[in-house]
Amino acid sequence: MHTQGALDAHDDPAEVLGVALSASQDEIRAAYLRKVKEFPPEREPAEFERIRDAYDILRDPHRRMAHRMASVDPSAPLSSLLDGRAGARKFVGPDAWLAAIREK
Amino acid sequence: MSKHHGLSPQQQSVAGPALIEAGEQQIRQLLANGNSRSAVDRAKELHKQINNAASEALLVEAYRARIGSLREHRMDAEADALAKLVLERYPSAAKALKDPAPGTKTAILKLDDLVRPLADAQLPSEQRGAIESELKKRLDDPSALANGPALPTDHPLRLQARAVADAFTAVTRGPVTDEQVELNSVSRRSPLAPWKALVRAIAAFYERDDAAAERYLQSIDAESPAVRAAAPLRSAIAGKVDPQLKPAARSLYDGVSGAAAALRDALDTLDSMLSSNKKTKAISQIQSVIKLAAQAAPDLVPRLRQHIEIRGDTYELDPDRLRGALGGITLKDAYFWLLSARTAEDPKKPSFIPASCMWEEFRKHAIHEGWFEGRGPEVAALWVHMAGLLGMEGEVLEEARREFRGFPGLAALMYDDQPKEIRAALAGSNPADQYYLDPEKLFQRACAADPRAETFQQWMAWAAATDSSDKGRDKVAEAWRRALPNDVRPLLALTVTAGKRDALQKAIGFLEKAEKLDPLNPDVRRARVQMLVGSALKRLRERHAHLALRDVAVLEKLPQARETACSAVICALRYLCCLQNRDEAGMSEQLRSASEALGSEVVARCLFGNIARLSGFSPPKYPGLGQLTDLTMQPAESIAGVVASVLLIGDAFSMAFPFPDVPTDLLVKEVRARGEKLDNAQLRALGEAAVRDGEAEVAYAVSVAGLARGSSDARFLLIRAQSLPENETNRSSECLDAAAELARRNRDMQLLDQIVEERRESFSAFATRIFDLPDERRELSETELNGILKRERKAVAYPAQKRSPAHRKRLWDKFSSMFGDEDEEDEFYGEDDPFEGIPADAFHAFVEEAARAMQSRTSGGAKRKRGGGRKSPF
Repeated sequence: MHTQGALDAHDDPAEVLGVALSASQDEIRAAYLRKVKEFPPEREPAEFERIRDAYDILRDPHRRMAHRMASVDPSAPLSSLLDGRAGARKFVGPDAWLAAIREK
Repeated sequence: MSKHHGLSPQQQSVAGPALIEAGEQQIRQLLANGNSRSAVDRAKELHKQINNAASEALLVEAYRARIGSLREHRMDAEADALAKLVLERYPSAAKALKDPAPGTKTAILKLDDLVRPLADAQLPSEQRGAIESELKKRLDDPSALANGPALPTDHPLRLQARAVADAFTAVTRGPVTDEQVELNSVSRRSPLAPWKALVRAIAAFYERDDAAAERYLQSIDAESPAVRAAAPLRSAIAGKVDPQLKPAARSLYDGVSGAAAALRDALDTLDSMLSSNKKTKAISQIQSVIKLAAQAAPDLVPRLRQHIEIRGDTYELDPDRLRGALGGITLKDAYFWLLSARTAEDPKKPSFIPASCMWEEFRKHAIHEGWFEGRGPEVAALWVHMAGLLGMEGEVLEEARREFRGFPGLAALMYDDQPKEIRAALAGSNPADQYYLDPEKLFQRACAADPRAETFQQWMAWAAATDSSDKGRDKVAEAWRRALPNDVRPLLALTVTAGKRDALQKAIGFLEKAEKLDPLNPDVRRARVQMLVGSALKRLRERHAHLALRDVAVLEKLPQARETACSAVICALRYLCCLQNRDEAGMSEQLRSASEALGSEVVARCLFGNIARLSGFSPPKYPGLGQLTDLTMQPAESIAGVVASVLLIGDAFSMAFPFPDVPTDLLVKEVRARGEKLDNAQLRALGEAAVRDGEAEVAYAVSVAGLARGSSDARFLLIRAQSLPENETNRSSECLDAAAELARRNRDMQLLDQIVEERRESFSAFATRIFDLPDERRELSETELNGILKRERKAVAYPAQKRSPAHRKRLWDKFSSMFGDEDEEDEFYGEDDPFEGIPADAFHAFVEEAARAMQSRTSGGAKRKRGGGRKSPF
């Protein structure tokens, strides 16, 4: 979950705007306008900032390429591949929850 | 209550239990509310009525709370007095009063005791509110309230607790319907409201509505125990464990995250094994990781194989065993090559040549997979990046390219086991075309794919750095001009190079074209002035004063001629024409005009002297111009200031004035004493000219003055690095690192280029190359950077560079012992001494650098391969 507005190197700007990697400039602009309607700056300033950053990167092919080239971090822990993944969510019954709640 | 007052013993025996129960409830409630004073009063009254052991115990308990309360309020004297009184009256209280006073007003109460008064419909709303508030803070399991005997089964709070407990059980055991977690009976003010929010958060979590889950989590009252479930739940939502989680919370996270948590642990273990060089264990751990991933995240397995294969290669795992452990082929797609290339770009790697090869593979696959077009700005950006990497290789690149001739390419080595769709990306590529190892060809392709001025500029900078003749620059400028015919910059570049080789007509031709395109461009206007000055100097060298005067006349008509520096240069040119024509009156007139314009006769004389020298006049012909030490200065003037002003004018007109013939000690003294009166531009001009002319101590003094200001640290750190003696290679290298870091932060690309160039030419780079050692490019942390800046600001004295012969011998012994060949010294000092003729200081620095570099490699760089990358990238 993103709490900060700025887009970092590992965020995928195409994913933020919901376009394909090979999207044309027109498609990128249309996606940007759609997203801005959904997250207007006065109501969702942080999300708007991410959308704006993503748009700025995607509409400039050189920035887009530079961002893409820096988008993987070979020195990151292997477990970071699991970050943000929607893995299976298991039901564990009430006891595990109550134990965590009673733990002071 | 007073109606029970004065009960007979018989009445007491009948009414006692009922009375004591009702009184106890009231007293405990008062205690729960923190009202110990009223509790004592009520207990006293009850004891007066009942007067048995139970009522006495209750009274003692009330007193105990009261004494505790007094102590809490720092009324110890009162508490002691009360305790004494209680002990006198009720000796049985001794034990109770010895126990620590109750810490909190509710500590003695059980949940049932707490809520029991709520059964009374007549309970005043204030008390009800207090109890509910306390209940909210203490309720860590709604079923305890639902099942407790304190409230009647139809009590609304108990009904709510039952609903919440059922919903909680249901939502933690399996999927639920909206109705099951609606819990409309629980209002926002209810003590069970936090639990309702938690139930809904859990339901949203399992429905993967993470935004809703977060909203519900945020609405949980921070004082409710239910809030303790938020941290593990948030971790599970983020898919990333929070290291702060306590054991039960971590266990909950692991439980709800299922096999993903186990996989995460397994991956962390693998990382740890690799970094501690436990290769055999790592191979077996890789097998476990792949098995776990196949269960927990089967879609992740191909990507994991890619990461593990590349990481395993970095840590030098046996390739066959590694592939066996991965249990399947690793797809060599665009992502694999992106990751490989980024890994190969590690600054600790000995060479960037493999990185360029990998970026080439990435390009082919990325185009094939539709990441970007085969021609266009994105692929151009990639090619420029590759050219930049190769540009840092220097002379090693040529050798690598020779070794690569005949190399069949990665296709022959890496794609044997690849599926058809991966191999399809290679269709049409020619392994013999190794353009990706040639920066010039990369720039050519980049400019063809996306002709933009910035790329041509980078190409031009590369050409200037690699080719001392201007042919390379001219080639780039011509290509630039063809691609962007309306850009004046290539024309100006061509003007400069034509001017340098005295092809004035050609230079004028280029300049006129530039003026036609953009007559108001300041660079074009400056170029015109520089051109005319250059032409006049050439005429003066040819002793054609009349032709020089023609150039000066044109120059005077330009608007720029009104600028101080330009008018002074014009005076200098006219002065030299007069000198050639033996017109002494004219000479005096020009000198006077220039002195007025510059506000200093000394500066004017010094400028004239320098221009005279550039025009080929020998010093006796212009007496009283160049010798600064012979000139009389005004009190406000200093030699350093005059030199700096003249050098600045020279820079503005692209005239490389030689450093003035002033004793070094005098100039150093001047810079130290009056450097603060020079502005940054003057200091910089002085420092750069000192570096250019080998006046290291002057350059060092300039860097001291510059660094003391703190406004252009990067520039003055570069001058500091350039001015340090050769036996300070470590320090010089650190100054370059710090200068590069600051230049990067300031986005000063021009300065960054200069630093890269300096590093390439430095002694350290030389030693690195001949000993086949890893290069020392590195990024600095904030602490390291500040440390270097602090140290350099403090170092105001020029370092000593002379060492004794004994020290030199010690260094050599250390150096040769690292090679481990005792005979080498004899060979070295034999007839074919390769260092014969090298100055002692340079030799000393060489030995020291070699010893340092060898030491650093033998002691630290376990993962650095000796020359592996330089010989062949694969």
